[in-house]
Amino acid sequence: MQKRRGATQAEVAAASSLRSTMTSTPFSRARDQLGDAQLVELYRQMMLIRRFEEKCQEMYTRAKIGGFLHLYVGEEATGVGAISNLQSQDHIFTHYRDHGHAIARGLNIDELMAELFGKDTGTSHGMGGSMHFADITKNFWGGYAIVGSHLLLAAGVALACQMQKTNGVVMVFFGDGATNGGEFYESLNFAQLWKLPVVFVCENNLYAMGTPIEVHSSVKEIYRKASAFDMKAMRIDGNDLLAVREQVGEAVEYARSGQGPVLVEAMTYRFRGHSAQDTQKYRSKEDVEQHRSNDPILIFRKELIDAGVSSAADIDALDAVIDEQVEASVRFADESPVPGNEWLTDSGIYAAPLATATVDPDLV
Amino acid sequence: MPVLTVREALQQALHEAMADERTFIIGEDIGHYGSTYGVTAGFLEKYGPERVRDSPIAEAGIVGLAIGAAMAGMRPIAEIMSVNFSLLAFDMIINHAAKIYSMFGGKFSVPLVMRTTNGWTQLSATHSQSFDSMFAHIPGLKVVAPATPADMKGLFRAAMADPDPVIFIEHTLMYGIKGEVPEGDYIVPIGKSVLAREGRHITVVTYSRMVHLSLQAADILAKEGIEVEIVDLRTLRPLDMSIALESFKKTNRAVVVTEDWQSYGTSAEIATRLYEHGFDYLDAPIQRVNFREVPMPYAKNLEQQVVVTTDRIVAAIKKVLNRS
Amino acid sequence: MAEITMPKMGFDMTEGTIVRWLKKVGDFVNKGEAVAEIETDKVTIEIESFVSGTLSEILSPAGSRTAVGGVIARTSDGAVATQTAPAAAPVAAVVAPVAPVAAVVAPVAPVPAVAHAAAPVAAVAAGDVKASPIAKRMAREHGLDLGTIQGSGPHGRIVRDDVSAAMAGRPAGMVAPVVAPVAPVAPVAAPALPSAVAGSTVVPLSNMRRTITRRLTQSWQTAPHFYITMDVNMDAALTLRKQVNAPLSKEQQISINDMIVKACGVALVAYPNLNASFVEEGIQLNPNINVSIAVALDSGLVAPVVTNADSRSLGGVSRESKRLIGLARDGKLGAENLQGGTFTVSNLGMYGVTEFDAIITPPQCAILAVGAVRRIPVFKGDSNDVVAANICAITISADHRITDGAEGAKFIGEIKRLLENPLSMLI
Repeated sequence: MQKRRGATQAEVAAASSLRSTMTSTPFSRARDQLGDAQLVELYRQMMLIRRFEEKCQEMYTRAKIGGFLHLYVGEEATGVGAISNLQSQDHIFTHYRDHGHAIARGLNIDELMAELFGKDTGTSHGMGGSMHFADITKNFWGGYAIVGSHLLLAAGVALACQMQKTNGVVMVFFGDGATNGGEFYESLNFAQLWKLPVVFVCENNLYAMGTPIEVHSSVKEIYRKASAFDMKAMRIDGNDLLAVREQVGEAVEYARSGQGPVLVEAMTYRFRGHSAQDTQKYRSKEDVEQHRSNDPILIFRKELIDAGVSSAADIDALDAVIDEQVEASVRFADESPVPGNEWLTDSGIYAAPLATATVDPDLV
Repeated sequence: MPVLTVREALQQALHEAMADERTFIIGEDIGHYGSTYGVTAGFLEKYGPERVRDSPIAEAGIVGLAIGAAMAGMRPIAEIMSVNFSLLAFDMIINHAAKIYSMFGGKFSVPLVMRTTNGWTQLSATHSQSFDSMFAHIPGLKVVAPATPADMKGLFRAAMADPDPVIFIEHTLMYGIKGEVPEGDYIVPIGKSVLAREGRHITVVTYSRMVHLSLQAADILAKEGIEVEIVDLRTLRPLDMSIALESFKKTNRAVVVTEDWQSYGTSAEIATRLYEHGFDYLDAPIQRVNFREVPMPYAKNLEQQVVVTTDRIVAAIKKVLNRS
Repeated sequence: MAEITMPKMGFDMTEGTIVRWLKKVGDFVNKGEAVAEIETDKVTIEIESFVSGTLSEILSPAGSRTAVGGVIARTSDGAVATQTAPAAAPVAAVVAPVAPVAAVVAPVAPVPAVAHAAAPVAAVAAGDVKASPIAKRMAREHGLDLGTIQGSGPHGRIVRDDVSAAMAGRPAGMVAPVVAPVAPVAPVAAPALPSAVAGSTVVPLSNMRRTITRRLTQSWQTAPHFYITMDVNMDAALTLRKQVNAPLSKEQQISINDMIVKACGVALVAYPNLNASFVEEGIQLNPNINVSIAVALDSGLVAPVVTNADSRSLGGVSRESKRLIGLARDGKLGAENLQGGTFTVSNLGMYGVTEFDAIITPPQCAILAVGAVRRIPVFKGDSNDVVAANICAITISADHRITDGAEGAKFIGEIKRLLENPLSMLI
């Protein structure tokens, strides 16, 4: 198989060149709008995701975490930048690679680690695991593990927002691999047809599991798929935190204003395999290394220091705090109780359990 | 008590449901077309396109959007015109509606009612099926299949009040069936079977349209002195076998009548429960009456041999009673 | 100091092989850097260090296999200390469930062996007659013999109405107006049982347990039991056994129980009442002497029958007994091996039991309960000299409707005589 080298760089460069023509930069505009403290906060979220997931990988190899483990490492700028535009009345749906979105939305990492450990204190009482983080108090409706399916649920919540006039917007994340199935097209049609407030964020990391995009999609520029539905669409550099924030922000406001949905294609790259047992035969080490040199977290860290927003020492201190929080989450998860057997009864399956006697006591 | 058709009873129940502002109906040809089976005729005019949503022909979307809306506080009614089309929505029904409550640790539920129809009338292989057992197989779903106008209305009320996803199975050949419907806001609870006819010689366990055919068979057999007791299960999941077992303990013989294929079908579950919990009361092997196991033929002469008829029910009852 | 352990690189991985080390002892390893290549049953993959430090020790050389969680190397002077607990213990806890489920062994309940003797027999006997489950149940509850009832169902199957008719003394009709045949008219009403205490664990009865419950309750309630115990000096029997076994291979060795079964067979010839059954018409003297031997299995207990125990040689009893025990252990006992017992021997000697009372297996008259052979001091003859002797207590439970204490005492005395003079039963 021909290895991909450089192609993404070109695509990303094309997206970046759009911005370089402007006089101010996303960084300067975000600094004006948010202030320094908020910029550091965005850095903190990205680094928390990174360190949390590195710890996940470690805990997986130590057999503390079971099942599948899909890490978001390398894609943090997309999730953090996009979600930073959402308000409390807004909603998020995401896919099985859901750790980053959950942390960016402010879910408690103790509960997330406990969920990974299969503990009762987990966000889903240990019933969901890595692929199914959720927190209804933050309108974070969960990670969904059937590729492409959750786009329809997201459109359904958007329909509820529209009918209930909550002014809420739904942001739904999915990969490039999810854009070939029927549920993707059904959801785009419904959303555009009914002008639903949905921002579809496609995290194009160039691979559907291990199948390169040129092998899996007839159209390589995913955002163009929206044209079939007369839907607004854009392609952005998903590794540039503040560019993501700015452009997705426009999409969110467009959806909120009632004009309809937007398809955002964020070009990004995952540094690690699809899951823990991925040998990554579909790409070369050099490719991965090249992308790693373009690490969105390190780039943003440098921007913060160069612009005088923060000092290297302050950021190192922040990193140390993050490490402590991650370690604490492991201790919390370790010490938490496992879920009880009530989850194996009707009351674990139904909001209104209906235990019906089928056993005649005379006969047993 | 007023006498209504199944269609009229359902219409009343749907109008009642629409009194709740959270409720909307989403489905194919429910509005502009005037409703395939006439149940939602006039609804678009009364409630408007916002709440009577003609959808694209996209079953996954119909159910998927309804699930999402239900999660976010609405009380949607998703209509899948024919159960044959529900196959296109099975990912939504099985991987999502049925799983979301438990998979997310009980933090939110899916109060969705999905109406759909079984049925056949020379529609050939893909339009004459029943997937009752496939729905009822799935923990997390509630599955009802009422037989009478009164139960249609009472169970629809229960389904709308339920916080969990309910698959509400109707039948295209039942909309004109008449029956007394109580006045007032009674509810028929999900998960409760009922005695449809008393008798002492044999128990017929059935549900949905087959209740009516079994009643006809019982009338025929009554003339020969055979008294048939009929149990209408009404709900397939959770399955309430208490009345059927009580009856079986009295009669010691049973026939299970269901309008689906026999292998791995609902009758397999029902008969097994009778064997499991009633073995010591068994006086003869249980017989089942179902579709013959072929894709439904179009030709009428062949179709008649595949579907369940009163004659076949009568024959099965006589066989179990060792009568010729 | 930190440990590098064999990582779990997939949900189903249990162990891995080191393909090669990418670092050697003394190399500095950065956190996240690959240190070795491992091979699982699916893939070859690099593993990374979760700490920074100098690789101080390689415990698993290239080519070796290590279970997930096992320590494969150590690092020292780690710049970033991890607070992770030692890996071995928690990993072991995760690995444990992978162990074969066979580790969960069903306990074998050492309940009185004789109690179970008739259970399989009864089940097999009922299977001989073609009858519906409810017909069988009614016949059981009302003490009716299904063999005497004509079936009106398909292929002559006895159905509910046939049993109802037999109870009412009239021919069966197809749809008889007997509506409630299940109303129990049992000869001895079963007392109401207490309900289970809320929160307690309730184990449903297995079929075998249910049969035991029914049969032995019936025995206890209908057969008035009496018991007689006697000590038997087994010195001579043990000596004989030793002599007989000397030339025999291990598989052919004669057991104490074989000698007891043989002794019972011989004694029963002289005491036909102890080989009888209490029936409607009176006391049925059984023509053959068939001794049931209780055999404990992992799955429960069975009592195969050594037929004609009186006329077989000691070696013949032993061979037949071994054959039956073998069949029982292999789960291959047939109906013919379980039917027709007229007397039962139950031996709990192997559990160290001194003596015990057994419940008679209906329709037999008696059962012999055998305790352990104990080496204890006794007076030698009439002298005051104390010597060691091998003593075994045997207890007969007998049905007072058929026999009385004096006859029972003479019968058990005959068994004692035969065992203390074992040559006499070989003649």
